[in-house]
Amino acid sequence: MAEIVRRPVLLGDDLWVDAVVGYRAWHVTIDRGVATMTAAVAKEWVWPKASPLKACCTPLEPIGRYLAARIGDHPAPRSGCKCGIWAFDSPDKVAEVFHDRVYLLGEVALWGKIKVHRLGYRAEYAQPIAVYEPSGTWPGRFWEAARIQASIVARQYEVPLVQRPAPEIILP
Amino acid sequence: MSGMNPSNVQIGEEERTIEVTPEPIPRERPAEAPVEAPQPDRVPAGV
Repeated sequence: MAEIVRRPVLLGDDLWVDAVVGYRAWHVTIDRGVATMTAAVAKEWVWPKASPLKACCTPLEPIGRYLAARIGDHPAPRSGCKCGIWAFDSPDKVAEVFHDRVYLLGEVALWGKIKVHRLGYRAEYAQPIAVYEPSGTWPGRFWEAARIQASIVARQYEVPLVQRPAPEIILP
Repeated sequence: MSGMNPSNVQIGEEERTIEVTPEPIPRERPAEAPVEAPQPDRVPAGV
């Protein structure tokens, strides 16, 4: 488990939260200039713009449906289920699983009830707080299109477009 | 190889639960009306 990173985040005019920072990947579509971020795995989940996403237990895959049916209705996240908003605990881990040639990577603020796992989190609330510039070294036109797409997402979701932190080097 | 099978994403075993609760933003107290400094008693000139 990496060290838990915290960052203060404003939630409207009256509230703030010392949120846990998680690292995620999204699918991005841009239709007539409107960007939409959906979860990288559960693609039906649309992330709202500049407002929090609240978790609920609606498993889409067979194992999740089996677990949820066995436990019964419950608020997310719950122990013994897979529900909640998933995030890794380091930018390196998300980049190992999701290549930024296909996915947009970035950072989310997590709060509410949070299940801390060995490699990441399942949270009750989440909101993007930054998206990463595509780091690709593939041919220029593709890279440029990916970068433009990321900048449109950043503007419409009201988050900064930043460079992904350099990979951590662990000495033997 | 990276990015090959994201549907099998794993975050490992659950270790513990934490609660992170939003808090109200502390507000500054409204500025109080300035209080006039007491004027020294006027002393007639030449005294």
